[in-house]
Amino acid sequence: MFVLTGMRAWVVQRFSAIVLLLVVPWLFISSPQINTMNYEEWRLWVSGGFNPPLIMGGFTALLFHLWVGIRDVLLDYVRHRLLRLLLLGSVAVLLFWLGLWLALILLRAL
Amino acid sequence: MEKFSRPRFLNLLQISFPATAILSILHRISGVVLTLYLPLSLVLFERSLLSADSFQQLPQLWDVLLVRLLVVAGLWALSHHMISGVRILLLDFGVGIAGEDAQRSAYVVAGASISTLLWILWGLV
Repeated sequence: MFVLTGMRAWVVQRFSAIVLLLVVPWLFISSPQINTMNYEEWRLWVSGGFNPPLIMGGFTALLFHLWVGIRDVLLDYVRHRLLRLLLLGSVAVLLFWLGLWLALILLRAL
Repeated sequence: MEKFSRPRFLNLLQISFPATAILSILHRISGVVLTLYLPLSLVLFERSLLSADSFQQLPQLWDVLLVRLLVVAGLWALSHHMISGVRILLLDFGVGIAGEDAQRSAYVVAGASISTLLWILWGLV
Protein backbone atom coordinates (compact mmCIF):
# COMPACT_ATOMS: atom_id res chain seq x y z
CA MET A 1 0.00 0.00 0.00
CA PHE A 2 1.27 3.43 -0.93
CA VAL A 3 1.58 5.46 2.26
CA LEU A 4 3.83 8.46 2.69
CA THR A 5 5.82 8.24 5.88
CA GLY A 6 8.68 9.92 7.71
CA MET A 7 11.00 12.22 5.81
CA ARG A 8 9.23 11.68 2.51
CA ALA A 9 5.88 12.82 3.97
CA TRP A 10 7.61 15.87 5.41
CA VAL A 11 9.15 16.77 2.03
CA VAL A 12 5.85 16.25 0.18
CA GLN A 13 4.04 18.43 2.73
CA ARG A 14 6.54 21.27 2.38
CA PHE A 15 6.89 21.02 -1.40
CA SER A 16 3.11 21.00 -1.95
CA ALA A 17 2.83 23.93 0.48
CA ILE A 18 5.22 26.00 -1.65
CA VAL A 19 3.34 25.07 -4.85
CA LEU A 20 0.04 26.08 -3.21
CA LEU A 21 1.49 29.35 -1.90
CA LEU A 22 2.29 30.25 -5.52
CA VAL A 23 -0.77 28.86 -7.30
CA VAL A 24 -3.62 29.83 -4.95
CA PRO A 25 -2.87 33.60 -4.73
CA TRP A 26 -2.19 33.64 -8.49
CA LEU A 27 -5.59 32.08 -9.26
CA PHE A 28 -7.30 34.53 -6.88
CA ILE A 29 -5.58 37.51 -8.52
CA SER A 30 -5.97 36.44 -12.14
CA SER A 31 -9.62 35.33 -11.94
CA PRO A 32 -12.31 37.73 -13.18
CA GLN A 33 -13.97 40.12 -10.69
CA ILE A 34 -16.62 38.06 -8.92
CA ASN A 35 -19.31 40.75 -8.75
CA THR A 36 -19.17 41.75 -12.43
CA MET A 37 -18.36 38.55 -14.33
CA ASN A 38 -20.85 36.60 -16.43
CA TYR A 39 -21.02 32.88 -17.15
CA GLU A 40 -19.18 32.99 -20.47
CA GLU A 41 -16.34 35.07 -19.05
CA TRP A 42 -15.97 32.65 -16.10
CA ARG A 43 -16.02 29.53 -18.27
CA LEU A 44 -13.46 31.02 -20.66
CA TRP A 45 -11.16 31.89 -17.77
CA VAL A 46 -11.38 28.38 -16.29
CA SER A 47 -10.80 26.67 -19.64
CA GLY A 48 -8.45 29.16 -21.23
CA GLY A 49 -4.67 29.11 -21.70
CA PHE A 50 -2.68 27.36 -19.02
CA ASN A 51 -5.45 27.55 -16.45
CA PRO A 52 -6.81 23.97 -16.74
CA PRO A 53 -3.39 22.33 -16.13
CA LEU A 54 -2.62 25.00 -13.52
CA ILE A 55 -5.86 24.32 -11.63
CA MET A 56 -5.44 20.56 -11.94
CA GLY A 57 -1.79 20.73 -10.89
CA GLY A 58 -2.59 22.97 -7.92
CA PHE A 59 -5.40 20.67 -6.90
CA THR A 60 -3.12 17.63 -7.10
CA ALA A 61 -0.63 19.42 -4.83
CA LEU A 62 -3.56 20.19 -2.53
CA LEU A 63 -4.61 16.53 -2.41
CA PHE A 64 -1.08 15.42 -1.48
CA HIS A 65 -0.91 18.21 1.12
CA LEU A 66 -4.25 17.07 2.53
CA TRP A 67 -3.16 13.46 2.65
CA VAL A 68 -0.10 14.21 4.79
CA GLY A 69 -2.06 16.62 7.01
CA ILE A 70 -5.04 14.35 7.64
CA ARG A 71 -2.72 11.38 8.07
CA ASP A 72 -0.85 13.28 10.80
CA VAL A 73 -4.10 14.20 12.56
CA LEU A 74 -5.44 10.64 12.42
CA LEU A 75 -2.13 9.16 13.63
CA ASP A 76 -2.16 11.59 16.56
CA TYR A 77 -5.71 11.13 17.77
CA VAL A 78 -7.04 7.73 16.64
CA ARG A 79 -5.48 5.11 18.90
CA HIS A 80 -7.55 2.12 17.78
CA ARG A 81 -5.54 0.39 15.05
CA LEU A 82 -8.33 -1.03 12.92
CA LEU A 83 -10.38 2.16 13.08
CA ARG A 84 -7.29 4.18 12.17
CA LEU A 85 -6.59 1.97 9.16
CA LEU A 86 -10.21 2.18 8.09
CA LEU A 87 -10.22 5.99 8.34
CA LEU A 88 -6.90 6.32 6.49
CA GLY A 89 -8.21 4.07 3.73
CA SER A 90 -11.46 6.02 3.39
CA VAL A 91 -9.59 9.33 3.26
CA ALA A 92 -7.28 8.00 0.54
CA VAL A 93 -10.24 6.84 -1.54
CA LEU A 94 -12.07 10.12 -0.94
CA LEU A 95 -9.10 12.26 -2.00
CA PHE A 96 -8.56 10.19 -5.13
CA TRP A 97 -12.24 10.58 -5.95
CA LEU A 98 -12.09 14.37 -5.45
CA GLY A 99 -9.20 14.50 -7.94
CA LEU A 100 -11.16 12.54 -10.54
CA TRP A 101 -14.19 14.75 -9.93
CA LEU A 102 -12.24 17.95 -10.57
CA ALA A 103 -10.70 16.46 -13.72
CA LEU A 104 -14.21 15.71 -15.02
CA ILE A 105 -15.43 19.23 -14.19
CA LEU A 106 -12.48 20.75 -16.07
CA LEU A 107 -12.86 18.43 -19.07
CA ARG A 108 -16.54 19.31 -19.38
CA ALA A 109 -15.73 23.04 -19.25
CA LEU A 110 -13.25 22.82 -22.13
CA MET B 1 4.12 3.77 30.05
CA GLU B 2 3.35 3.24 33.74
CA LYS B 3 6.75 1.70 34.45
CA PHE B 4 8.26 5.20 34.32
CA SER B 5 6.78 6.79 37.40
CA ARG B 6 7.40 10.32 36.23
CA PRO B 7 5.01 13.07 37.17
CA ARG B 8 2.43 13.80 34.52
CA PHE B 9 0.25 16.84 34.26
CA LEU B 10 -2.14 16.98 31.37
CA ASN B 11 -4.93 19.29 32.48
CA LEU B 12 -5.36 21.30 29.29
CA LEU B 13 -7.28 23.99 31.14
CA GLN B 14 -4.42 24.70 33.50
CA ILE B 15 -1.36 24.33 31.28
CA SER B 16 -0.23 27.73 30.07
CA PHE B 17 0.40 27.65 26.33
CA PRO B 18 2.96 29.94 24.67
CA ALA B 19 1.81 31.80 21.54
CA THR B 20 3.78 29.37 19.38
CA ALA B 21 1.79 26.41 20.72
CA ILE B 22 -1.55 28.16 20.19
CA LEU B 23 -0.53 29.04 16.64
CA SER B 24 0.47 25.45 16.02
CA ILE B 25 -2.91 24.07 17.05
CA LEU B 26 -4.70 26.80 15.08
CA HIS B 27 -2.76 25.74 12.00
CA ARG B 28 -4.06 22.23 12.50
CA ILE B 29 -7.64 23.33 13.21
CA SER B 30 -7.75 25.65 10.17
CA GLY B 31 -6.34 22.82 8.05
CA VAL B 32 -9.08 20.41 9.15
CA VAL B 33 -11.74 23.10 8.59
CA LEU B 34 -10.42 23.75 5.07
CA THR B 35 -10.51 20.02 4.35
CA LEU B 36 -14.20 19.97 5.27
CA TYR B 37 -14.82 22.92 2.93
CA LEU B 38 -13.25 21.15 -0.05
CA PRO B 39 -16.14 18.92 -1.22
CA LEU B 40 -18.53 21.86 -0.80
CA SER B 41 -16.26 24.07 -2.91
CA LEU B 42 -16.17 21.45 -5.65
CA VAL B 43 -19.98 21.31 -5.72
CA LEU B 44 -20.09 25.10 -6.15
CA PHE B 45 -17.31 25.04 -8.76
CA GLU B 46 -19.15 22.36 -10.73
CA ARG B 47 -22.47 24.24 -10.56
CA SER B 48 -20.77 27.48 -11.66
CA LEU B 49 -19.60 25.79 -14.88
CA LEU B 50 -22.52 23.47 -15.66
CA SER B 51 -24.67 26.02 -17.52
CA ALA B 52 -25.50 29.71 -17.62
CA ASP B 53 -28.65 28.92 -15.60
CA SER B 54 -26.88 27.11 -12.78
CA PHE B 55 -24.26 29.89 -12.77
CA GLN B 56 -26.90 32.57 -12.31
CA GLN B 57 -28.52 30.72 -9.41
CA LEU B 58 -25.37 30.89 -7.30
CA PRO B 59 -25.59 34.57 -6.21
CA GLN B 60 -28.92 33.77 -4.52
CA LEU B 61 -26.96 31.75 -1.97
CA TRP B 62 -25.39 35.01 -0.84
CA ASP B 63 -28.76 36.12 0.61
CA VAL B 64 -28.50 33.39 3.24
CA LEU B 65 -26.77 34.69 6.36
CA LEU B 66 -25.30 31.27 7.19
CA VAL B 67 -23.67 31.15 3.75
CA ARG B 68 -22.06 34.53 4.33
CA LEU B 69 -20.73 33.42 7.71
CA LEU B 70 -19.39 30.20 6.15
CA VAL B 71 -17.65 32.16 3.38
CA VAL B 72 -16.05 34.56 5.87
CA ALA B 73 -14.96 31.66 8.09
CA GLY B 74 -13.59 29.75 5.08
CA LEU B 75 -11.62 32.68 3.70
CA TRP B 76 -10.24 33.41 7.14
CA ALA B 77 -9.24 29.77 7.67
CA LEU B 78 -7.51 29.84 4.27
CA SER B 79 -5.62 33.07 4.86
CA HIS B 80 -4.65 32.09 8.41
CA HIS B 81 -3.45 28.67 7.28
CA MET B 82 -1.35 30.24 4.51
CA ILE B 83 0.16 32.95 6.69
CA SER B 84 1.08 30.61 9.51
CA GLY B 85 2.25 28.12 6.87
CA VAL B 86 4.76 30.66 5.58
CA ARG B 87 6.06 31.01 9.15
CA ILE B 88 6.46 27.23 9.45
CA LEU B 89 8.34 27.05 6.13
CA LEU B 90 10.66 29.85 7.26
CA LEU B 91 11.27 28.03 10.55
CA ASP B 92 12.13 24.91 8.51
CA PHE B 93 14.78 26.87 6.64
CA GLY B 94 16.15 28.09 9.95
CA VAL B 95 14.80 31.62 9.61
CA GLY B 96 13.59 33.13 12.87
CA ILE B 97 14.06 30.00 14.94
CA ALA B 98 16.75 31.36 17.29
CA GLY B 99 15.93 32.60 20.77
CA GLU B 100 12.84 34.75 21.11
CA ASP B 101 12.36 35.13 17.34
CA ALA B 102 9.92 32.21 17.01
CA GLN B 103 7.82 33.72 19.78
CA ARG B 104 7.87 37.13 18.15
CA SER B 105 6.96 35.84 14.68
CA ALA B 106 4.02 34.02 16.26
CA TYR B 107 2.64 37.38 17.38
CA VAL B 108 3.29 38.81 13.90
CA VAL B 109 1.28 35.96 12.35
CA ALA B 110 -1.53 36.47 14.87
CA GLY B 111 -1.64 40.17 14.00
CA ALA B 112 -1.58 39.46 10.26
CA SER B 113 -4.32 36.87 10.61
CA ILE B 114 -6.63 39.22 12.49
CA SER B 115 -5.88 41.96 9.94
CA THR B 116 -6.89 39.68 7.06
CA LEU B 117 -10.12 38.83 8.90
CA LEU B 118 -10.94 42.54 9.13
CA TRP B 119 -10.00 42.91 5.45
CA ILE B 120 -12.31 40.02 4.47
CA LEU B 121 -15.16 41.51 6.53
CA TRP B 122 -14.55 44.94 5.03
CA GLY B 123 -14.58 43.50 1.51
CA LEU B 124 -17.64 41.30 1.90
CA VAL B 125 -20.04 42.92 4.31
